[in-house]
Amino acid sequence: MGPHPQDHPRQHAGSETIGIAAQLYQACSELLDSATSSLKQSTVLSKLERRAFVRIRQSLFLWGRSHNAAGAQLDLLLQESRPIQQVVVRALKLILKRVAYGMLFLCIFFAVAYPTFAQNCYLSS
Amino acid sequence: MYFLCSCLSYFCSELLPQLLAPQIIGTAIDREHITRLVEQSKFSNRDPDDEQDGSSSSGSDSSDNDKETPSIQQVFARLRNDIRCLTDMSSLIDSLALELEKKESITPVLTISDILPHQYYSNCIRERFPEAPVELIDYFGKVTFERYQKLLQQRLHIEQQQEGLEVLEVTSSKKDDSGYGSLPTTSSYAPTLASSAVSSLAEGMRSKYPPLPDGASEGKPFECLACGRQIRASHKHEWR
Repeated sequence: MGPHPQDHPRQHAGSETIGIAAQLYQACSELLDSATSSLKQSTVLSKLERRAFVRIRQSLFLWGRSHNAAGAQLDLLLQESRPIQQVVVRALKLILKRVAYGMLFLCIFFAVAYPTFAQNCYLSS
Repeated sequence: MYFLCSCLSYFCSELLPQLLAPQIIGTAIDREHITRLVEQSKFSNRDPDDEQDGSSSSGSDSSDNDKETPSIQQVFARLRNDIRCLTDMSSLIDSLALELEKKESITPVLTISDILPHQYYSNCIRERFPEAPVELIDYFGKVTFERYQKLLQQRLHIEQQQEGLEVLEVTSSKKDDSGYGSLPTTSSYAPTLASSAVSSLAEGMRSKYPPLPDGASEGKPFECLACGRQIRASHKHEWR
């Protein structure tokens, strides 16, 4: 159970039409999706850690779905209030940074400890 | 709640020591008190999942030193906290949606240039039938206005052409017909008149027809308010 990767519309081609919050949310979702699919086949993380990671992804997915963050609706609403827009964008930026650095850390760690896993990750991407 | 604690904790731990010099903190504000508050805020921000999992949550706060390499549990804890911040702001985003809906529902104020000639009649119809479609009300307003203009022109035309009085026999006009259409009905009043009178009484209003002028009941001719002709009518129902 969980959000299907197809639920996150990948709108790179039309990314000029959507706002910064939607683009950040899509980037976070895509990173989490690819990380989940990579970690699903591996045994480097314990079952508890994998479950925690999936739960994080589900939380972000539910938040984005409730506000239609992947589309233009969220940015349209955030235009009404500059302070709320700044806070939301900052939070999404922080999540993206953490996910990216976390994945980078995992890739470096696994590249040293598990070179075949890193190679599989690279090939699957 | 969590979002507020995070912001205040960040403010206390990061901004206060940078903005205020140590000697100022030492004299004006109790430094130990601030440190204790920061520690308490860290405790309140601690993720309950970490405690359940048994992992250490000392690095779950965003104010910790980022230069240290975080463990995977710390990365997860920070991600959870960030997403919780977003979830806490859901009500704020929903309030923005409500404000936007309210803004869209407010109808713009009509200016003088926007008011059309038939607006008065449309407003009258809208007051009486508030749930009627706008297009229909607008159409009836236009038709009523055109009818009023037509009657006005007819009235002016008659006033110009007729110098003398041309009395029209309204009540006593009889035409030769087959008799099928002029059979007496059960009521002395026309059905439309009766229904309008009944509806007027039901609504607690007065009659729609204006009162007859003085002397009209005695058979004297008078000028019709609608068409401007000189007519003779002794009863209201004849004046239609």
